[in-house]
Amino acid sequence: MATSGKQHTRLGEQAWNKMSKVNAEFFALTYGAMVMQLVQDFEDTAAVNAQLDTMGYNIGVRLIDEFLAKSGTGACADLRDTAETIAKVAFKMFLGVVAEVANWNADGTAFSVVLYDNPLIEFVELPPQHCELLYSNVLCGVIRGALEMVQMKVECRFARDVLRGDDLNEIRVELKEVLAEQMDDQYFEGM
Amino acid sequence: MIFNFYIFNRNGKCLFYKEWNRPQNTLQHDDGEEKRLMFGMLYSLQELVGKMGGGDGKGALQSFTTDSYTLNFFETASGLRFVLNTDNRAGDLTAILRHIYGNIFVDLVVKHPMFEPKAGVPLQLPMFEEELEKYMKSLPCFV
Repeated sequence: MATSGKQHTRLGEQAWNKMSKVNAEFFALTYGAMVMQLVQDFEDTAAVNAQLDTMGYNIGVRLIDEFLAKSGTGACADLRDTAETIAKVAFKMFLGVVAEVANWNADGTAFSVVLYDNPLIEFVELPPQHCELLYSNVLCGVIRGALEMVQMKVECRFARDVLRGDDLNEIRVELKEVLAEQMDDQYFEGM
Repeated sequence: MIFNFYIFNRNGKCLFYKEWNRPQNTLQHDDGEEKRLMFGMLYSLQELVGKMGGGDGKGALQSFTTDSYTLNFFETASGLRFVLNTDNRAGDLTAILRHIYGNIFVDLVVKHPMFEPKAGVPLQLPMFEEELEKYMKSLPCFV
């Protein structure tokens, strides 16, 4: 696995070099302003978390094509390959940071993406009344949306969050189902 | 010479169709039927090619040639299928289909706010069409 890990890292580097960049502080502040707006609009923290997840999902279902096209990765062989690709290639390509894959469950159907360095949370502190806010929940949605487009239904949640006092960020990804190809209705005529 | 071009989504809906040269069209009377048949054929062919090749067989089908045309095929992991029909002198067009996907489709369709990745509605995006038209016409094998 060591060699394939290196290959993922290299692909990530290449993809990162190809991407157009925005200023990291500008990005972090813009994201912060958006979360602030959601917090004001929804009041209920759970609703904000859900909204961030939905936004992420809508990003993910689009992002997958840019990812596939520009990273040059094809279909993944198995879930381990998928996990490494998300952590080493996708995170590098879109956020400029590399994540680690850890904590596989015994069945090999769930893993964690561990993020030591989360560019979204620069400058951020959670006030006590919003201690339940999953500030970076958009990332869970992105992973969920992107994987759904390659026929993997997953559940994704923040297991640990630096903003909430943990020592690192951990996104738990659990594979629920591999979706079957679903033909459009027009192919079922006369059957 | 480039004849025509299709984009299908994973469910077999035709998202986009464009033809440049098509002197003879025996399925003219029924547009939808042709697209259905095209996707159905590719789907079956992919299955068969995969089974004959062993392994998971995905990505095995790239093109096939008949007496009168060559069909070039490219499928993405996200289930989009790009189909480009040309005459038999156009050569290998895999790189061209990849370019259409990576540079034209991603930039002008996927990033377009009106595009809904899961809806499967035919694309009506003039910028995409223009850019595709320009790119196709710039290819040496176009005429």
